Amino acid sequence: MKKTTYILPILIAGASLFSCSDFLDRQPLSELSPGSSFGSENQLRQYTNSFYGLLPSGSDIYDERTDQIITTTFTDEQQGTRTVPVSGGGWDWGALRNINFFLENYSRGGLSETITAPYVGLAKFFRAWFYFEKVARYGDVPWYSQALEANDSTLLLKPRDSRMLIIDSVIADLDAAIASLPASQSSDRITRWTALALKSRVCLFEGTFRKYHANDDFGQDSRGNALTGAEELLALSAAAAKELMDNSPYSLYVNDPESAYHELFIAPSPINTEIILARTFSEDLQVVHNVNYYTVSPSYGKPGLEKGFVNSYLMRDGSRFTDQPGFATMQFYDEVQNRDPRLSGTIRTPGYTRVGSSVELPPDLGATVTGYQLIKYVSDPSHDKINGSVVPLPIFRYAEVLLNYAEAKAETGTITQEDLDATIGLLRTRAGMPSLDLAAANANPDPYLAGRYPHVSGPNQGVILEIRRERGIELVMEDFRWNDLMRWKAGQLLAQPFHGAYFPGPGSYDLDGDGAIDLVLFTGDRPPGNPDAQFLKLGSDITLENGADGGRVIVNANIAKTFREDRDYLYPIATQELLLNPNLVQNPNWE
Amino acid sequence: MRFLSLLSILLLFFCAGTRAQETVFNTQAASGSQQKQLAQVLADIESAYYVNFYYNETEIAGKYVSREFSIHAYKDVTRLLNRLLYNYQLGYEQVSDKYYYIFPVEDHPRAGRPAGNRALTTIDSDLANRVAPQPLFRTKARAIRQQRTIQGKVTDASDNFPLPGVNVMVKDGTAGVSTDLEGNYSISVPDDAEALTFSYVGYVSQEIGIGNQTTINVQLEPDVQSLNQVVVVGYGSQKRVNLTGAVSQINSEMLEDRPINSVGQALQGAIANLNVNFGDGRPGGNASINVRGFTSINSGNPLVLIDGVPGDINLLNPLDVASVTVLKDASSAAIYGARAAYGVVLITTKQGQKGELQVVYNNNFSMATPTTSHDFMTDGYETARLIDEAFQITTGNDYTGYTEEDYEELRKRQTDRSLPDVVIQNRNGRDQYVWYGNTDWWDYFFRNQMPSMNHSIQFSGGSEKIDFLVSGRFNQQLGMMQMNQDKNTAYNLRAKIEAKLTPWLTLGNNLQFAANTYNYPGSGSRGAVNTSFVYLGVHALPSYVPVNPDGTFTFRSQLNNYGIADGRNLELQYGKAKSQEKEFDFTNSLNLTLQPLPTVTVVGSYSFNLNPYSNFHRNTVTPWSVYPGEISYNGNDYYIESSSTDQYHVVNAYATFADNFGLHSLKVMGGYNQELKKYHNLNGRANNLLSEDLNALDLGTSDHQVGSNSVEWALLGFFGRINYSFADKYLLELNGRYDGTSHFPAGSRYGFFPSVSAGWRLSEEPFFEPLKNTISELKLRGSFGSLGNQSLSTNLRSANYPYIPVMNTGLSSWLMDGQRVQYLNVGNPVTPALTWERTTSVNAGLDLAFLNNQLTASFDIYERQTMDMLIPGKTLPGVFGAPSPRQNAADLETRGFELTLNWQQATSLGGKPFSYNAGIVLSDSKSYITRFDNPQKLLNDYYVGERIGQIWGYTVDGYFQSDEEAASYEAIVNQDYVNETRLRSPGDASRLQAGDLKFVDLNGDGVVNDGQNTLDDHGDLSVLGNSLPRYAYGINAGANWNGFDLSVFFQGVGKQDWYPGSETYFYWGVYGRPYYSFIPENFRSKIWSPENPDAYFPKLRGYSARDGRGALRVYNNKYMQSIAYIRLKNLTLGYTLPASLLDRWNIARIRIYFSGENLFTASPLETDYVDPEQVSANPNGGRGDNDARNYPFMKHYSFGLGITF
Repeated sequence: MKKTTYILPILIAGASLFSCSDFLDRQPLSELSPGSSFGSENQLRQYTNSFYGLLPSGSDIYDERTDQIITTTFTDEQQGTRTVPVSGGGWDWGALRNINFFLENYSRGGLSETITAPYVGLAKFFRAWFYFEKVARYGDVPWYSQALEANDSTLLLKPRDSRMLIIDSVIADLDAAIASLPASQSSDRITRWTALALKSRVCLFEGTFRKYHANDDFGQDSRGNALTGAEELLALSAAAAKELMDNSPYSLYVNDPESAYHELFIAPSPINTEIILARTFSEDLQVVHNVNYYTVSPSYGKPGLEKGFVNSYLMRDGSRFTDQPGFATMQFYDEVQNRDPRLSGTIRTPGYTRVGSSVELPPDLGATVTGYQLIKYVSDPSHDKINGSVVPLPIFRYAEVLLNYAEAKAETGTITQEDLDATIGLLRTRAGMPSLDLAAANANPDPYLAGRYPHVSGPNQGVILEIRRERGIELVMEDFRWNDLMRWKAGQLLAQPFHGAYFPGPGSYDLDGDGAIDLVLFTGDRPPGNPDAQFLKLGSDITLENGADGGRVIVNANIAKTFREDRDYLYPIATQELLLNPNLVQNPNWE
Repeated sequence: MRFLSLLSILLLFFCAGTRAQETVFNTQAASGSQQKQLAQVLADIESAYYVNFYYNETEIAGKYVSREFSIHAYKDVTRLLNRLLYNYQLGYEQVSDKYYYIFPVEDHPRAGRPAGNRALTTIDSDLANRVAPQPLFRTKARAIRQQRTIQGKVTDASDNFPLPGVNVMVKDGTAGVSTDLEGNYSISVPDDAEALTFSYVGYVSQEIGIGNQTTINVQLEPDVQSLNQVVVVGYGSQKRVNLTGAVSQINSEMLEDRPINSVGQALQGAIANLNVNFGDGRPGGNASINVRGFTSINSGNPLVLIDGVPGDINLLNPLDVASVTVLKDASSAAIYGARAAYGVVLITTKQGQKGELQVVYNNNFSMATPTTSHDFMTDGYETARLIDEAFQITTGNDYTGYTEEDYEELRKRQTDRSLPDVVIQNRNGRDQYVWYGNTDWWDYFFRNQMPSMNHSIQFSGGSEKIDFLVSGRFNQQLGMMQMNQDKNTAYNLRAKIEAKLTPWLTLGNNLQFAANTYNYPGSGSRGAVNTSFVYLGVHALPSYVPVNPDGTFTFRSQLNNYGIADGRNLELQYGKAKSQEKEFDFTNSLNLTLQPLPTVTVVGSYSFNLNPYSNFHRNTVTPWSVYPGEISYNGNDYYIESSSTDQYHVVNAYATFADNFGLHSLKVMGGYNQELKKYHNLNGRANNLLSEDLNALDLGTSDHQVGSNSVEWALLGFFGRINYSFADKYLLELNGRYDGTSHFPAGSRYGFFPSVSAGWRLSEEPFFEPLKNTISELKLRGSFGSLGNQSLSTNLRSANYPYIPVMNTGLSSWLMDGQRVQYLNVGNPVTPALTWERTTSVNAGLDLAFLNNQLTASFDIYERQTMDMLIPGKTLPGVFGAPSPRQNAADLETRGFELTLNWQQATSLGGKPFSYNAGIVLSDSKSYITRFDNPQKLLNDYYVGERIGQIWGYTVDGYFQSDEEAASYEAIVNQDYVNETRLRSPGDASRLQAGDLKFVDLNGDGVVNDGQNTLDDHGDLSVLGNSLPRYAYGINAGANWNGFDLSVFFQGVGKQDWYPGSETYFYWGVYGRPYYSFIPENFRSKIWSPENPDAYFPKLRGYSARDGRGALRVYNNKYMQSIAYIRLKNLTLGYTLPASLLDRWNIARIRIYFSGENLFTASPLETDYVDPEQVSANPNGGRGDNDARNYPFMKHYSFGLGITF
């Protein structure tokens, strides 16, 4: 029993063996500290991997609802019903913090510059990407080149910097990225070529924005200084594009002109000769998107091309569809004959079969609100379940670079026939169409396009309109259209009524010309017969401009759309941000 | 308890400092302020020395003692008794360490023997004989009356232990005996005697009519509110009378005999200002507890200690609990320093008792049913029409895609149910199923009757040297999910043993094991069974059916853009998506108690807790069909498993010195505590499974992902307490703790937390004597002190290394070379100089007892300053790009009070003893922000002066009665800002018109808006209510008579407001998302129309309760709900079989009972589809679900049986 007397002292002694300071010193066990995060190239790679999350995915890319693609419901942007949010609304800066933190700290590991340079370039590429998105959305924004501290009120409460400064900084970042990124060819990593492509995209955007908004509310920065330098920016855009055209390994993917364009978007892995950067998906990893279900089910808004845009597709011989007699009342089967093959690569036209199938399918008006049913990216039916698609979605491709070059040259008035042949010409050749003739285009600007883009004028009006036609057709459903409308000051295209295909009225329609009735439009009771056809009741299932007297399909006729020229070219900043930072001013005419 | 009684005995031995006392004894009957009844003096001795006397009251009556006589002036009880009793010709005999007989000297067998100067007698084997039942006293009248003998046994009603030394008296006082060590007595009473009274210190006295009985067995109820009660406090215990802080305690009977599944349920409403909330009503749902209202923006919870070790009340067997003590103010909690800022809950488990093996078995079978109404619209036609109408108004389109022909079909099926629910029709060019049902989806998915059962058994006993208690429990509750019914299963085991190795050394071990498993259908993370109420709540229209004629499941109608229940219906129907949570808890405490000196006790303990938690979620691809013969698929196929291990080490070592110095009594305690937590988690995910039933990562065929993480934290502290009292009248307590934590940087890691408290027992003062017959106890208390909070609520890294910046890791959804890439990125910013959140609190209290403690009252008022709250710093501009780092940057003030009232009485009814009791607890608190960095006073953040919980909103003046009225109002007041839904509506619907809400332009600027949304410019907002509970109360009452016991317990909240959340389909119906699955029955009658201008809801506009600035979404006075409530929490009727029936089977006690929980609720809340408790916020502002889309609360009807052998 005597022994027990010792237990307690031992217990107490044991307890005090943990010296207080050691016992309470507990460091994270499963996280790296910033100090130990930049010591190896592997760590730099891991860190820079985090930047890729900034790139768009899935519906960011294909769900391009503007004036070219519409669904049963309109977005606030399409409708003109955006409001000033209380907080958020896109004013997100976390990604920038992550990038700036890297740029401030990467050298702490003491790695040599040869090792760090490509990663620094990568960070600068993404900072440029970040700021480009911010400028496009908000115009002026504050520029930060460091991760902010919570107590740094000077920086936190900084007013907006002029977009002039931002764009100059973006270009400087891109130049640095171009200089240090590897000149390799990889569709899932940022390379020197990606940076050049972004530079041509940014400079074209900004150059045309400044040019077309020179005399409106958006032609000056938030401090009232006029936005100048459009010409220089366009020249930079052209130069970046030219560098890619001359020295990169990229070229257009060419195959049978009837199918080459379509093939580019249904290839299971990116076609590396043309795709500069794409987001890829995997069934095994359950990293997927929803484009099949979006386009083939009646459940996701039934997207379709808008009629006015479909009209802009040329005839296969290069002539204009809108010059055809009676084009406005041409029915579906007729209007899609002998058109630019890219139309058949974008929507269901007669003879369309699903990938991997030989069954010809007419457009399904149960799955497209306009009759022009999208097929870009749509893979075989085994991926038709909700979120079952894994086709890669392009973010940068060579075709855009060519279009950027042509547009930049045309907007600066320096375009030549050679330039056109090396750009638009190649795109048209791929589609089996004749090249664009500079002189002819300028001599006879397309009145149809001129009506859609009234701000285009001058000696190059004709070719600029043609380049815009080409850009719309080539890049539809790739998330370019909103920015294009904004920089071209073409917001009114959103305010126009949206239409679908033309139908003369109730009746039976053979949409694909195979002799079988595909569609029956009726009023009153459903007519008998045509068991395989689709029956749509006029006025409830589908609405035509003139009701039973026919006309184009009209979508949401009862919703009045507007686009405010003095306001809607920029997004509003959340009210909370304005309160938190009194130096921040709202964009024009938002309240 | 044990410790204290030991201590008291030691005190008797070693008492330093005697001083000569001038004592005056007066054996003459006299009265006056200079005299005290001998009985009263003996009672004082009992409470001061923890001893019990038994004696015949008539023998003591009429004897007086001078007030000058001090019971504190003697070294020990024996000397005191020698001095005191000598003058009255009384002697005494010590029969055990606590019990003394007092008897007239000439009456006792050992009369004449000098009674004093004997050391404590150890009970020897013939003690039982010596104290065998024998008359202590007989009146002279006995010879001339006819006598008869009554015998019986007196036991403790709470644990059935025999009570020795109970005074058994004939009512007229003519005879009296005491019970023996086995609790038995035998008394001769006159034939005409009416009743016996049974009295015992610390128990409620009982009077029982004799009638024809010859055997009267009695169970005495412990006197819970007795001022002599010993209360558990930090690292020790304290007599209630000597408490100076705000401490409340309840004992086991609050937890027994109720069909409760967890301790939290029992504590709800039981203790003033101990606030218990349940986030939902799911089986095994956890309670969150709070002490004294809103604690901190950063949230702060009380420290919960189970037998001195931090623990989880949700894993505790309710029947193991002996007492629950809540330390509310700074002085009582200060001993726990840095974790006690928001109170301490001390749970003490039962201890084995000396005596024969005792076996207690209890069971309970219960049936649960939701407390709320679930009568929804199930008419396919009516519902589809209503939904289409609501959807059409706002969006311009219909929702269902039904044609007029479809509606005609639906209308036919309103009356003719023989028509098929599903037909095949060609739509959009294809044959498909078209549904014309009248489905009750609620009944399809959920059950209404859920059984549960509980079995528990306890073995206890002991000898002089060793006592033990072993208990076990099995609890199973079934849930309401119709398919793959959810089930919670809990097992508990406790084994407690204590051995007195030597007279000065006691070794104890306390082992606790709990296992809890919850299985539920569907996939999702912890608690995710609630997501079923979210998903199932949409798109399941009555006109849809669950199954097609070919047996396939339904999902999309293909007539619109939506899928039933967002696919959750498929998961449930297909039945392969399942989840499980499993938790084990193992705690072992080894305790050593040493008494090197009689005045000194040293306790050392080491406790180890192991808490493995695991869960899995399995999701599968689910088949569905809408085109006959064609199966489509939905969802993904994956399996997620996570398992974590918590290890917790606690070392406590402390020593107590206690002694009396004359009238001075001193107790000093000091000690050391250290705690270390180690947490490790391992988790994995596999896709594309080989099996839809087996749960293993190995069965995934692609993309195995694994991860792990670890956390450690540590605490240590030195603490001390000094208790001083003078003459039991003036009480003083000092506490202090010096605490260190690993959560803060080395420079700011330690804090000192002192407190002081004092009490004054006015009732012990001479001047109080005239009142003493009415007010038996009056004590004033006051305390002041400081406490810390280090906010350790989670295993998240950020909570445990808040000052150390770290990098995040993750798996990108960007693929490189076909694989997801691992990435590293910047962590959230931290503030390097974090330190304690500190509270200082002031408490004033009053304890009162009336009518010899029949009525007791306790009142406390307090103010708590929460300083340097660790909060996400002030809202920073978005360009900061990260959440604001936590800082010690805000202050808060909380004020409140609590009141406890108890009444108890034992009397007789119909010749049978009848006892009853009633009690009320009431508490309240209010909190204000006193420092917060929000100079603009943005209303969407905290600001200085803000009362926590306040709800800002608009004022509505009814509906526009006509379009003209709307137009003329619109001409002067623009209410577009709060009419987002209307403005986005197409055509005519975008006009303000009859039936729309008329918003009042309070500030007269012609525009209804929130101005700058700041305090200075809040537009037309005003404070409409407060979301935090006020006046939480509990009311209990109970009665015992003739073996029957009845208890009722009400609980409620006196004041609380709730604005129904934007997804509250039970309330908003089609005004929220028009396509909710569960729209209350007869909803159309609540919709405004020209014919129904007084309807509850305005003109129908779908989404107006959901759009950010929709007319119903913006908080307004018309739809603000009061969710005050009173609820019959429990009603129990029990019957204890007469002991005479049970003797032959050797059974000590059998009790059967019927009980109900949540039987009745009253509330001004407008809807009966929402339980007010379900949306009630806890005092920290947290709620299960503001939209009431969580597991419904249940009422329970149960039957139970308890047997003691």
